[in-house]
Order: sequence, then structure tokens, then C-alpha cells
Amino acid sequence: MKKLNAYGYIFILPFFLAFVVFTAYPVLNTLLVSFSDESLTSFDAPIFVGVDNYIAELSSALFWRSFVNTWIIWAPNIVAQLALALLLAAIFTNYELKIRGKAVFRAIYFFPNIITITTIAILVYVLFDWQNGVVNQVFHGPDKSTYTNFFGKGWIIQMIIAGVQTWIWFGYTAIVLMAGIQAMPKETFEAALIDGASAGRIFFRIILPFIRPIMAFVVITSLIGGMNMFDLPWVMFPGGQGGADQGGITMAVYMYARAFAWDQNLGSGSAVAWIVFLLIAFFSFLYIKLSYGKDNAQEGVN
Amino acid sequence: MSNAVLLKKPTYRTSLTFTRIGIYALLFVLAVICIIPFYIMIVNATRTNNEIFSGISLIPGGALVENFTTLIYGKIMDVAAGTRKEGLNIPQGFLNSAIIAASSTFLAGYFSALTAYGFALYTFKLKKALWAIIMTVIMLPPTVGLIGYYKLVSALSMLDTYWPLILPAIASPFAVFFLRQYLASALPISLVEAARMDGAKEMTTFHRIGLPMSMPGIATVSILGFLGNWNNYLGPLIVLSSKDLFTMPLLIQQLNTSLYNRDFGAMYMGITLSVIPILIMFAVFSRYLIDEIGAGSVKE
Repeated sequence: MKKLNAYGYIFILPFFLAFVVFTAYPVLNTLLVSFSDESLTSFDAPIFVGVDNYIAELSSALFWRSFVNTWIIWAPNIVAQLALALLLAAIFTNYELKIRGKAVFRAIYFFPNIITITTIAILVYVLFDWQNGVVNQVFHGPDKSTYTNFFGKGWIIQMIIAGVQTWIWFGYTAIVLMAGIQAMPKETFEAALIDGASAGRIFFRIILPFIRPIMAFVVITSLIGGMNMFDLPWVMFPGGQGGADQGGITMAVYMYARAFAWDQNLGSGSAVAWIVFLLIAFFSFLYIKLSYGKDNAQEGVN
Repeated sequence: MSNAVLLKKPTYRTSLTFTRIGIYALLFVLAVICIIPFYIMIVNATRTNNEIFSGISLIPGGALVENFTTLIYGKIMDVAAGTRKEGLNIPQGFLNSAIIAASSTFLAGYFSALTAYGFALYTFKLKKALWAIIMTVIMLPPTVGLIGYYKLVSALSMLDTYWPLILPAIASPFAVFFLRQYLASALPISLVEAARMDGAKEMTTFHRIGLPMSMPGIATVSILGFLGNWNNYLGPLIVLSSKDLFTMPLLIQQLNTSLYNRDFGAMYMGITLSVIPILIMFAVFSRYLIDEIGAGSVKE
């Protein structure tokens, strides 16, 4: 049998070959490029510039604007998404409510999640159009002079993108949280019901602590996606201009634009990519620390 | 048991009825919000620009063919030739997307099963370390290696080809993770050992036992993988530059350029067409997908 175990390496070899070539090498190469002045337009060999690109980006107003934009879009979205998904998960798993048509509702809420983001970007662009968009037609009737210019203000653009993100993800998140709640041992529920605990109490004291790992999974995957938000703002505002007040310039849009569109500076773009990566790692760590640190403290008290 | 609780509070039933009405109202409103944008999209794809500009309608119009023609053959008139130009070749886009998504999904299914089988069946020195790498890579953000990926593809002279969009599927960390979990419960080791007694080679054992046993798991990751590939925008955006190679997301993106700008009929028509394949997949697989998303996340 021992001899056969060497086959393990043969079986996993293709995966790791492709992984090294198409993932590991590009990631490390991006790190390398971030320390150089490499550019798509220059024919000269790139020069090593140390951490210059990082210093330049961290002192660039537009980088920080993209950072703030990204958070202004992500934060309301994750709060709204989690609140809605928790509410739906609590409703769908409630023993006494016995909601009918659960499967149909779930499927409908999940539907926006599988639509191509470029399609959604165009749809949002035409629905929220100033003079000819459906949203204005619904809320203001035929008098076009009363219409709201949704794309005329950076913060409205950001709230629209945040709302669209919530719309895309709340169903998915509700499904994930529901599965988590359904994995709870039934005895826990029943014991609480016999003790006369209210639905709210059961939710906050029993369900929420139990699904904490799944909440962490949801928040961190959403953070990774949110910090990399690109498709929606890029297609809505082509060329990385971000619309009014540069509101749609997220960090990923900024990174892509620096590397491939505006000044074709691969060095700066790579530095931004790694800063975003480190930010994600930092905030993921922070979330886990805060979420589980509190748990440990509570256990200490009990 | 729950009846005992209800008996304690006589007013509970009436309040429960009111709660239920409120909850159904909420569920209904959310459902409408999820569906109505797509419904309006489809209706507006059949209306003229004048109709779209003048107000909302829930009844389809008669401009389906006109919008379709504008979309496919283009809005700009080539005055010399007397024909339209710069249209979007939607059928070609469907075909291109299908080629990339199907090839990637096939590679991901086969090689992920192979890798998962390797991890599930054998014990080797670096197993834990290599598995830890796969687990970490699942969480790797897609942009961190983007510039390196572009440079690699360029150095390999693979720009404007489908290879760099298909080959990376051989290393699909999530699929490997999912299939190893699946094999842990579905692979009968005794069957593998019996095959070995009969003198079967290890690779043969995989193809005869491991792969067929993985099939239900492969089906699940394939549906998710196909959708992910079909919807991928950033990869093709970086790699492809010839219009006849463009995937659907790259074609759809052009609806928001000067080619079509302000022709809402053609824009609605374009996005409506792009949703059709997904709608079909959803109709066939939604139940299955939803169950698997729940199951997958609980395991994690």
C-alpha cells in the first residue's frame, strides 16, 4: 500500500501545475511588478523602484476616494443584505408560521443572483435613466421636469449600486443562513419553547450564536467580492470614469484603469491590487477576531 | 408539543394570523421586486423608443422585430453601402460563451475529481500542506493576480485566444473541496481494494470507480461552474480583443457605448436575449442549485 500512496502526487499533479502557472505565478509576479515602474506603453526594461508605488498610491487622493467609495457601497449593502436574509431565514425556518410556497419564494429571491452582472449593469443604467428611465416614470408620472437625475450625484450612484448588490445577494444569503439554522439540533428549539421563550429571544439567544460561523462565511466572502467590485460600475460608467463625483470608482475599477486604461501603469496597478488584497486579509482577520473574541469573553462570564 | 405552548397563550392564534398576513405581504413585495425589473425589461424589448420614452407599460408592444434588427445589424447606417453596420453578433456571442463555459466546465469536472480522489484515497507526506493551500486559494480575491495573469498570457502569446480562459479551470479549488467532501461519504474503499486485487492499475481504478462515483458531485459543481464561466466578464475583458471572439458579457457591455447609446429598444432587447439561456438553466436546475448552495455552505 505504501508504494501506492505515491500515486497521490500523480493524481493531484495536474491541479498544482495549472495552479502554479495560472494562479500562484501571476499573483507573485504582480507583487514583483508592484515594486517596478513597468508600463504597457514603455519599451524600456522596467526599473526596480522599491516601495515607491505603494507610497505614491497611499498618498494619492484618488486612491483614497476609491477606498471610501468601495466602503460606502459595500457597508450599507452587507448590513441590508444580512438583515433581510436573517429575517427571511427566521421566517422560513419558524415552526409555527408554516409559510406556504417556501420553495417558490426562495427560487424567486435567488434568481437575480445568477444573472450576468454586465446584463444587470445595462438594466440598471436604462431603468434609472434620467429622462427616459422606468423608475422616474413610475414615481413621477409623465412630467419629465420633475424627474430625478439619479446619476447626477455620486452618493446616489453609490446607493443605487449598494441597493443592486443587496438585491442580487439577499436571496443567496437567506438560503445559506436557512441551511445553517436547519442544521441546528431540534432539541435545542424544543427545550427553549417549553421554557416559554419568545420567538425573538430564541432568535437572538439561540439561533444567532449557533450560525455565527456561517455568518462569518457570508460576511467574509461578501467582503472579498465587495472590495473587488468591478463589473457593475465599470459597465455602467465605461472607461472607469465612475460617473458624477467619481462615485463609481471602486478600488478594483481604479486598479484596472491605472493598469490598462488611463496611464497603462502596471507598477501602480499592481501596488493597488496588493494593497486591496492586504486590506481584505486585515478586515477578514478583524471580523473573525471581533466576532469570536466576544464569544470567548461571554463564555468566560458564564 | 407546540400545541402546549399555544394553550398557554389564548390570544396567540389571532396575533399569529395577523403576523402571517404581514409576513406574506412582505414576501410578496420582495418577490415582485425580484421579478418586475426583468418583466419590464422583456416588455420594453418589444416597444419602440418613443413608447419607452413616453411611459411605462406592462403590455408588450409591436417593435420586437425592429429592436432585434437594430441590435443585430447595428444602429449606424453605412451611407455608401446603404446598409447598417456595427451590429452585435449575438448568436456568435452565445456560441463563444458556450464554447468557453463548456470546455472549462469539462476540464474542471474531470481534473477536480482526479485531485479530490488523490486526496481522498492516498496518504502522502505533503497532503496536509497542499490541502491547506487549496483551502486558502478558495478565498483568494480575483484581482490580486490580474496584472501578472495578463503578463503571463501575453508572454505565452495567448492573448486573443480562448486557451487562457479555459486552461485555468484545471485548478478549480472550490470544485476540489466540494468533491473531496462528496467522495468522503460516497467512495467505497473496499471496492477500490477489490479492483486492486484484480490487478487494476490505479488510474484505471479512478476511471472505473472514482469518476463514476463522483458523478453526482461533478454535476453540482458543473452547474455552478458553468454559470460562473458564462457570467465571467473580467477574464475575457483582459484577454480578448477581436470582436468575433467576444463572449456575451463583452457584447452586452457594448450596449452602453456610442454604438447603441440612447437606443433603449435595442438595449432592452440585447439584455433580454442575454438572460434567456440563464432563464432556461434556472428553470431546469433552480431547485437543485438552491439545495446545494445550502448544503455546501453548512459543510464549510
